Amino acid sequence: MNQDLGIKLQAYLDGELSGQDRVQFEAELARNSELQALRRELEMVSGMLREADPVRTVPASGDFYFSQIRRRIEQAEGETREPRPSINLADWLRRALLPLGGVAVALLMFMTTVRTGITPGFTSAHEETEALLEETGAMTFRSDSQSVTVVWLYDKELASASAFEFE
Amino acid sequence: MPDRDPYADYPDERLVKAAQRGKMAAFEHLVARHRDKIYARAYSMMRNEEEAMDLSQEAWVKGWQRLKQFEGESSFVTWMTRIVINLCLDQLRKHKRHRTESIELMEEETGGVERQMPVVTLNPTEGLERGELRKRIDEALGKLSEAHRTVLILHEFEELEYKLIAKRMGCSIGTVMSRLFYARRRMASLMTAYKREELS
Repeated sequence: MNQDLGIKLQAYLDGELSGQDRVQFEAELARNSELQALRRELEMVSGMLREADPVRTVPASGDFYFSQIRRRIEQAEGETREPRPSINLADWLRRALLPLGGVAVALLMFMTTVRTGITPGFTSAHEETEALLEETGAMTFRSDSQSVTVVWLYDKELASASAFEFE
Repeated sequence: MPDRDPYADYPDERLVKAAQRGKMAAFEHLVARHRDKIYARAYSMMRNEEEAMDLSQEAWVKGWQRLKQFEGESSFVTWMTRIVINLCLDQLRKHKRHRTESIELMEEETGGVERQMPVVTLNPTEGLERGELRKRIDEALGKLSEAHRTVLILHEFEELEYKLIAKRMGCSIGTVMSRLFYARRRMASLMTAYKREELS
């Protein structure tokens, strides 16, 4: 008897043959005594295995075994939590306070100009831009060293009447 | 565990629900109840105590992590068994990369089955009490190659159909069928040999 026939018998016994294949095989089985003997063997093996799945006990105490499981769970949970980034105070000062300080100085200077009409002396102008309106003049000064930008708005009439200088 | 343990008499379903709510004590009870079965399955596949311990514990860890996905479509122990089997299959794939093909696989491929193993006619299990039968079956399983043992366990003990076994093992259905056939015939041959030794 060839192996293919034996494998087909196995498929038949395991319910993996269906339809026409199954019918044809049943006919073959009915007339083949070798196949019938093999059938008894395969059924004996399946029956034996299903009745006697080997049993084993964990070779460690229950408490120890569970403590190892718990440790692994805690380890896995610890690895999934991302570490919080540390805050560098110097970085925070540089990034937040200095620009805010610059803005505060600019605002103060702007408000001073608007109240008095007099442009205070400004000695470290690096750049000058004019934006002319009909009655109001505007000048922009930028200090790179202090990271400050100042926009000067002034009354043209007053400016032409008073004497002031930029250095 | 404390004397007055509220979980001691809970059925599995209630323990699972409590564990799903994060109660580690309930989970501990599930482990205590089913650890031997999960370990036994790992051992039957790996045939190595250390690996079986490691993989069975890993299975419990995965069980805890995936507990919320368990919806009760099968029993809890069946669900856990699937997890440990998958871990064992992954581990066996790693083994396969390092070992050469077994002689048994070569025998199977060259048709050694029908040449070396005549059909068994006497019943090798007759007169054996269950404990002794389990022991012999365990011994015989140990003599199969990993591939043959795995397919036998998945079909006979886990009752998986050929298609699912093929998918889990990463091989064709034809390969599953020929390995299963060889494994069964080899088991019959080994069990008969034990019986003959006993009778002689």
